[in-house]
Amino acid sequence: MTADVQQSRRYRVQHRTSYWYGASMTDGYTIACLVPRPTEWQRVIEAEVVVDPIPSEMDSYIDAFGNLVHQFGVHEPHRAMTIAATSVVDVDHRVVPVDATPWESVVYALDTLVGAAAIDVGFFRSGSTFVDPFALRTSLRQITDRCFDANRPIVEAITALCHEINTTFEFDSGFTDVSTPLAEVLTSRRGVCQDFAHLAIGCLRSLGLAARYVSGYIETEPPLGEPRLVGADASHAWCSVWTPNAGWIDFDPTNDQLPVNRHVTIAWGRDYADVTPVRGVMIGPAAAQRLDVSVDVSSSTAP
Amino acid sequence: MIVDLDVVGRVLQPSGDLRLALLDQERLAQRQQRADRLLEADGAGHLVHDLPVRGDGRAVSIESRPWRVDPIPVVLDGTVFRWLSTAIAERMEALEAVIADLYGPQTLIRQRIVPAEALAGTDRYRINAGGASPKRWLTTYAADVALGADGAWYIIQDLTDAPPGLGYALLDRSVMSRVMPEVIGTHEIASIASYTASIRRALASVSSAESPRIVLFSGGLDHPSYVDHSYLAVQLGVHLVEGADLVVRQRKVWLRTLDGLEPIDVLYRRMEDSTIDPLEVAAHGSRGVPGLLQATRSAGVALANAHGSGVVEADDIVPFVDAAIEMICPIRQSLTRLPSRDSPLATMPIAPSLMNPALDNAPVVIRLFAVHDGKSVSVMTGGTGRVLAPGDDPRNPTACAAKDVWVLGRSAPAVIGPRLPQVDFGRSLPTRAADALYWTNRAAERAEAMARTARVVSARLQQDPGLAEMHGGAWTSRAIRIAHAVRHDAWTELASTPSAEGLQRELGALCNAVALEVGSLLTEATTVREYLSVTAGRVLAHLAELRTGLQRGDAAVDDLDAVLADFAAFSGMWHESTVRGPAWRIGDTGRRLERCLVVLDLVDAAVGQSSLDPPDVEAAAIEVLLAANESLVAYRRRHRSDVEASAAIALLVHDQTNPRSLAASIEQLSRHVREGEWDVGHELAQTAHEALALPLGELLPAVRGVILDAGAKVVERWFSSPVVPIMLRPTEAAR
Repeated sequence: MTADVQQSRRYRVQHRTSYWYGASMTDGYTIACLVPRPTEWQRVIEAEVVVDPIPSEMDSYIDAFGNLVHQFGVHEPHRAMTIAATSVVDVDHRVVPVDATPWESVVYALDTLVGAAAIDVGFFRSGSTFVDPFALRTSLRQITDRCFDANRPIVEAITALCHEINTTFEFDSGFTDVSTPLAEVLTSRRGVCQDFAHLAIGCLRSLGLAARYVSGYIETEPPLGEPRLVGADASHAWCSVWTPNAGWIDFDPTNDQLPVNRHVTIAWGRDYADVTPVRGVMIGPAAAQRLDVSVDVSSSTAP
Repeated sequence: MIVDLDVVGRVLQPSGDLRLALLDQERLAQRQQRADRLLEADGAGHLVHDLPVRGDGRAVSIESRPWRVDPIPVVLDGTVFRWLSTAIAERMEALEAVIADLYGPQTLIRQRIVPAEALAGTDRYRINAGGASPKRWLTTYAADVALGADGAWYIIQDLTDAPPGLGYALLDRSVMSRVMPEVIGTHEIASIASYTASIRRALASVSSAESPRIVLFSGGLDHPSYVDHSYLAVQLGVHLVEGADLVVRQRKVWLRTLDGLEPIDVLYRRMEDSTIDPLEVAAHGSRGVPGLLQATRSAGVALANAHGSGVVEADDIVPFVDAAIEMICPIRQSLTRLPSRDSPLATMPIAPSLMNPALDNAPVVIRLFAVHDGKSVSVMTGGTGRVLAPGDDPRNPTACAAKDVWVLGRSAPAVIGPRLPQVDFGRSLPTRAADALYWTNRAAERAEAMARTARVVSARLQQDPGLAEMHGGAWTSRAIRIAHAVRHDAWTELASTPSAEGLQRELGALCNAVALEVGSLLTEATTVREYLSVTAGRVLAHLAELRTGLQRGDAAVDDLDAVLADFAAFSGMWHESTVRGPAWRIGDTGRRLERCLVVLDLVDAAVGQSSLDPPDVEAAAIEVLLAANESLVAYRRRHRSDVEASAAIALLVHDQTNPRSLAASIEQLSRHVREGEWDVGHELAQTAHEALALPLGELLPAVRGVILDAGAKVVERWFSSPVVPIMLRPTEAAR
């Protein structure tokens, strides 16, 4: 994959998550996956996570998938918590990858991989918390049968899958939430980008391919003359599929495209559960919780 | 080890004299009965069940699961055992190496010996435990083995997460050695007594602290293996803690005690891996400790076994384990995996009455236990056998019959390791245990008062049936009022008009109330068995039996006498066998507060209101009052006259020398709050003291107010801070 430096774009992302509790909590424990990871096509210029109240401990570590994770604890009585993540990244222009390997040959290659690649790829072929491709095999098959003709080149098949999901499922932000099971998405044929990413992953894994979930953002304001993309002002999600010649190829079923330079990558994992932006547990009296999330993505040409 | 086919049938069985001693048909039934009774007494015959909801709203509902110990043990010859224990020790080391590779260099995954796909598909592989470097993955290990009908020993399953059953194994042996001490004594059966020291040494070795503080981390009363945990904690002499007892701060784990937080170095984890930290495993249960894994990562605490060690027992991974062992750490004396669950196993005799009316044969799966102390593996010279019912999966026997495992030959002398420095945990009392001790004692005191009242009234009626009609039911009316007052929910309206039937109904309700109170006493006490003596535990088990009769509501005077004897034994044990420290203080505070309320309730009901009843009714009521407070004998010795109100009140309310009196209870409370350096309590005790000088009509409500306030303040001061973890609301779905 070659990057055209001329067309790199600089993104500044502000992601603010605020909680208010109906009572005072004595301890709060939070894990946040909010900081973009560096990749071949993405450089992290600046990144910080600021928590209010100031945590008693703040640790960061690289998880099993190479993502940067922050973990912090607040151990004084508190009724609210805000996590503000700010990052600046430069994203290179990616060309649409080429790999004409028939998809069945990709599966065969996967089955016989050894060495570091067996680890890099093998963890993304099984069922996971949100994606159980084997239980849903029959319903998924109806989708994959329309895209994965015998010996179809892998990139072409994925492009077709992307289009199939985009055109036969309805984007409906009011219908699902984080815990909506894939089975329900399949029945109602509606969902949001997280559901579509899980759906695509399910389709690919049911065929024996390796697919991972990518969390990130998408540019808010479209460049002049281009359409505004869905998923702005919120976390966005898409997926990646592995091919022997091009490695991991990103694709965004919600927007029916292969990302070029308007996607900012935070983290990837088997599914949403591995890369949840903010999750936590607190200790205190049972009380109501209020939550507010705001995401702002602004861009300019990279210097 | 392949056993000569001719002797397969005999390997698990005793021979010679021992065989005669064990299979003696006549004594078997007797031994079975005694074993049942002993197990029952230890609360293990069936788990605590059918108990009411706890005070904190946590529902307690545990499936009753009777299990029994077969008086015929599995008897292993010394040679066989030595072979097995070497195989087990080697296997433990090999599994340690396999687990370390799966989370470390991952050679096994690279070479597809254990496919990444299989690992990713099971939540037993803690993907984020990669890169962690615990001192050791397996501190404890258990292996289920069985002898095949073909004479080979097979491994049925490895238990590497939180191997269960060790407590049961120790308990079974303690039962067996009481059932037939003479057999064990004369036949050179290896002792397992030193094994607890090996466990302690192994647990201490995972920490880098010089004198590590170790606790046993249990899932609490509603965990299916709670009896196993609680018995083991007592045997090891370590605190049994639940999630709510622990808190993570500054990347360390702390125990919540009455006096504040105390650091913990080693968690002997008896909770399944998937439930230990709700933050990372997204479990919705509240048993875990949020932040625990972060503390582990920063070496703020050591887990035994380490987080993630259950991977090799996961169904998806088991098929690859043997090849993994072969590659990473080939072992000499390998146990073969049982080819299929229907492969025939060698059988051995099962005592009659366990499954069948006659002596019968059945296959038995033997669980052996091992610990690693950083230098070497010790295998317990015993274990636990589980009888398979026809058609059982050997990994999951359903017969609920356990066999003790005997190894012939005196065991090798216990390994003498470096003595561990002693840690003084004596002063620390986990807050939850304090809470349970407090309510245990309150419930015991109230239940005892209710039972005694019911007994006194019933006995009086029995002696003198004419009482019921005395002066148009005047005595009955007083008796109803007293019986009603001592009941916990006595603030309800007195419904019945004074009649003999009304009194019977009231007594029935009182017996029911005793049963309820005994229920909450048992629930609370079960979680603090480590603070109660063994004998106190037996008394509780007996109370649990009597409770069933009380629930029927038609308890006879004799039944109530039996209940009262148990209460006397329980409070006697509590009083005489509890070390005077924080546990004693908080428990006794509960007892004294409740006693104050009991005296106030009874005095108020018996003589608190002016009455126009004739003197003989008055005297009969005062007699009931004195007897219900266990003070009638004292009164008679002192006054040698008919009872009269003012003298009775002096004895029950003001007499410091009568341990049942209000004044004595308040005095004892003052002592506790002084020693506990609790200022608010001290002021309250002072106020109660002063109120004792008031005339009776003012004294009763005044003291009651102070005592109720003190009860509320105890809860507020020590038990009110909520410790149940709450999950943060998930952020919105990515769009």
